[in-house]
Amino acid sequence: MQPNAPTLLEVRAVSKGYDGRTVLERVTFAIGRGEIVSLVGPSGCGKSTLLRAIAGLDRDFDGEILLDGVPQRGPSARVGVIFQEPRLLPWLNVGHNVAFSARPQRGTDPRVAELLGEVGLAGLEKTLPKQLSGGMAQRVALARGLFPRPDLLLLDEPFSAVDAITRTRLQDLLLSLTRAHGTAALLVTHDLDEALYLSDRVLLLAPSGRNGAGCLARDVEIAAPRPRDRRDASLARVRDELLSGIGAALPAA
Amino acid sequence: MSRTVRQISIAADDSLALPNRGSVEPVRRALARPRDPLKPWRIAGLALPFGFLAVVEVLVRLSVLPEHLVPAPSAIAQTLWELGGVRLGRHIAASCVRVLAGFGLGAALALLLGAAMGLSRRLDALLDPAFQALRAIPSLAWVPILLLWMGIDEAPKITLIAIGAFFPVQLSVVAGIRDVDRKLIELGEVNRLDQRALFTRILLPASLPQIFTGLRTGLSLAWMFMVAAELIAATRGLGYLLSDGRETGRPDLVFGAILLLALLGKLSDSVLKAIEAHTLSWRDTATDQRSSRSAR
Repeated sequence: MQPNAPTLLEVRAVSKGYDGRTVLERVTFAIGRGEIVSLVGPSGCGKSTLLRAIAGLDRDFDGEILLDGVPQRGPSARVGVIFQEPRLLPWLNVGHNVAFSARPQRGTDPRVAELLGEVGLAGLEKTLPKQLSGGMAQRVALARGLFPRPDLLLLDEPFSAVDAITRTRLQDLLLSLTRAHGTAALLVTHDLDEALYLSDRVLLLAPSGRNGAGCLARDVEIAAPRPRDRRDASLARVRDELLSGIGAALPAA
Repeated sequence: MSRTVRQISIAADDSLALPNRGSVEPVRRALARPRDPLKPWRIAGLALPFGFLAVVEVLVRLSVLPEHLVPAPSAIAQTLWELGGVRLGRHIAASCVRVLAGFGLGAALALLLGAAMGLSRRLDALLDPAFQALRAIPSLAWVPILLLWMGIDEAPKITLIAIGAFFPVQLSVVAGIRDVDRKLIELGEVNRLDQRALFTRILLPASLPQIFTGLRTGLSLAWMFMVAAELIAATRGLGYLLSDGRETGRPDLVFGAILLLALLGKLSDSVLKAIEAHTLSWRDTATDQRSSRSAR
């Protein structure tokens, strides 16, 4: 954790089983305010399961999840979720999609225009989702996630469905947005380079528990200064360390 | 960290597609309505029935078709003309009012019950077998029962039409709500929508395409059931004209009523279709692009 960031999210000994099979085993970590943390690991090790528990979409787990010291079970207005797909409501225009969490639905919240400007889509309030490209739609999803002023953004492989160039641009957008709003982010990704480029810390989940249940295997602080160079040599060293961590945890192929 | 607006750097650099100008351009293109290359075909489609009538006219005039079985379209038109605007209007109005009342009643009930069954799996499990059985009953089988119960007034006719319109609408509402993408429901959960908001803001709009399909099927069934109702006991309406024409041996009257039924059915469906197209303009389907992309 960053030295002076007060703790925002605490995950305490969270375990989760499906049909008698343990998927997550006693995962414990914390995230500070404004901190960007990535969750990496081989597929099937429970990354998304953990994210769903924190998002409140899954209430059936053991252990505790605390936000500012208060136990959470169920969705919170202080936690925004960005899915792999934009999940825009096709019958609402971009502006209404951004303001979706507002209740009762307000016609023109000045924050909608403000957020759309920040994600580079100024003036597209009246546009329908079907007229957007995949990258543009994900930008709208980011604006929608930030609309209720969350303290924490949860992102589940948010940029995996777009092309490589759009992806790097969306990564930079995420960095500037979280900085500008002071929002912490927990990002599930299968892309180690993405994790290294974006994160203050990288958590490695590996199937090293009983019967291959996901456990926290590494918690690596990324000290490289920002703005980062994607080819930074120190990032490459951390990358090797994480890869060896994944290799050690996996049974021989 | 302040929450004021920041010009995010990537939005300002214009090298790649997404920011300002680049992002608006594809939207503009999508908004601009292309000229419809299928237009001549659409006009021909409208003209086709008239062409068919013209051919029939010629064949009857040449005595290829026997006139006592197939009246010439001009004779049908003359029959309808002689019936007079007021009388004809009265028949048409009677049928239209019945269809509207029956369809409105049946569809409204179906929307309510369908929504309840779509939302509650218990209610669905309870009612679905009975509804399946009721749906299987042919329309004409209802007629004697309804006549016994309600007499020969408007009530049994409107009830029969309502029964016809009910089932397709009810089925489409249940299926529509069931088929809503789980991912959209999750979005509602994340945004902490309560049950009512989940229904009005996600489930209902998401199932509208299916509901409209059901409404259009229901409307065409309403016209069918209207004829069934009027064939039995009526003194007015297009169904009455049909049976009157049969009993008095006048095929021109029968064909006149059939033509009017075709015209009214097509007209009412067009109205519903226009409402559907307007309401569902957000849909990203092939239909609004097919015309411009693949004119086959």
